[in-house]
Amino acid sequence: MKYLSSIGLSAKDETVLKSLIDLLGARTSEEWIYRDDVMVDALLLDFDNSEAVAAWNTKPESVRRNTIAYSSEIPGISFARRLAKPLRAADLIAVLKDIEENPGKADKAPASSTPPPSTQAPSEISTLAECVARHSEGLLRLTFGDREVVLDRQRRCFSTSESGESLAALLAHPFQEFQVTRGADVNLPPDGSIKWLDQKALLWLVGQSGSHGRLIDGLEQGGLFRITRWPGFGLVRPSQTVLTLCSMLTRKNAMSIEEIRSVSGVPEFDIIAFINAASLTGILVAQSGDAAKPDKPAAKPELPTERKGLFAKIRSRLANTRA
Amino acid sequence: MSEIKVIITGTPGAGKTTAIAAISEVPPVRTDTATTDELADVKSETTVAMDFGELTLEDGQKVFLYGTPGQQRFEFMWKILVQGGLGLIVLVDCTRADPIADMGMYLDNFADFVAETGAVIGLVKRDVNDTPAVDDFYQALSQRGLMFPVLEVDVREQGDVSLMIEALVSLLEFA
Repeated sequence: MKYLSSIGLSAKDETVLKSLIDLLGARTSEEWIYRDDVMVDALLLDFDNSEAVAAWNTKPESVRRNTIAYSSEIPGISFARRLAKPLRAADLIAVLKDIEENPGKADKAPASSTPPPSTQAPSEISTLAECVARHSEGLLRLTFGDREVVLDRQRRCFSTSESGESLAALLAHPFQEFQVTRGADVNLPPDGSIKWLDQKALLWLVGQSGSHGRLIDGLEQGGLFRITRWPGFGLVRPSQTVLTLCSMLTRKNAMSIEEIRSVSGVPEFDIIAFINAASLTGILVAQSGDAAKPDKPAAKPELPTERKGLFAKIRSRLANTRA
Repeated sequence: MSEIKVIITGTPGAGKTTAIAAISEVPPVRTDTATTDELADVKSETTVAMDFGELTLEDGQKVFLYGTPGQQRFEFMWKILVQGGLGLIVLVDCTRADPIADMGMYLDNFADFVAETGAVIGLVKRDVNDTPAVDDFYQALSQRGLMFPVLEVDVREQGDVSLMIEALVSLLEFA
């Protein structure tokens, strides 16, 4: 007899899980029972629920072994065992059989190439970018005093009390200073009283303002990065740094953070913010830094100093126009 | 000092003249004449030679902004105007029947110039009706082996015109 429990599942998912366990019968080698009051043989963790992930992180290894990450398609989940939402009997049976056969299998990176998975278990959420990256379904409300942002992942839109630069400034506050509400706990005013905007504008700003120098889980510090297109900047005019990174990262060959820093002179803090923003908006392609670069391109010829000087003067002139 | 030129092209009515007027330090030189063909339904006047504006850099050097005539029958002017140009801005009027084909036509006609320099695509009038998604423009660029910025802009706004030029400069320096 084996025991299964869960952390962070919605009431509906928990009901479905218990029903499926009851119905498994002879389809697994051992009899499985849902219990949360004994030492369990498997634990289903809702990876999209950041509070559940934080709680899971505090549990001893004996409880965390054989954790099954249950999530939407979040790239880079670093668990050997995963279940995609919604819960399906066949998938559950397969993963339980695997636990029966390989009870001690260590969590390791799943076989996925893009973006490269982290080999670390999910860490506690420390940045707003990480919080939003892990929240891939339903409603998320971020409150800071009387200011707030509501993100609706289902409908791919957001609403906020702020506008433009003010929103960017709000999102730059440390994550710990926000009050976070998720799912059914987010009470919305009646339809029609809120103005909803495309979520990409918010996701871009969250990456840009709410990264605090930390890559979101699943992105390797030593990885290689490029973007598939220029981002839609939405609410806030891009800085020169952002335009520089857009140009560099749309090159055919992916670049490491160190290469980008070396060529552009942009601080790593800003590069990480850009990479997170690109990841959140779905335009990032990441490769493992361990993978050999296909064909190292010939180095781009250095621009003559005169040319660089001209570009700098044009930028300066246009900056004056904006001011 | 060498002459620095930024070329702005695009479909008739996309706002090339407006873009130059939005950012030029001097009243733009215009060569408009009354439209007499099918374009008369869209606009009363159109550019037949070029529009011209300028920006002065901190050391007194000038950046000249040249707007080409939009109609393809003035293609011969395009070749003349791009000579020595820094790069190209293509304005695409998204209310037209096939904006992606419009973009392709200009990229074809300026292919040699674009290959040597670079281009920024400015999508205008995106809010008027159903238009292709921005990703569709990127896909069309990708099919040509190109990766240029595609920006949604309002050419009446100085900041948006400035952004296109800044994106072009970044592209030329770092891409």
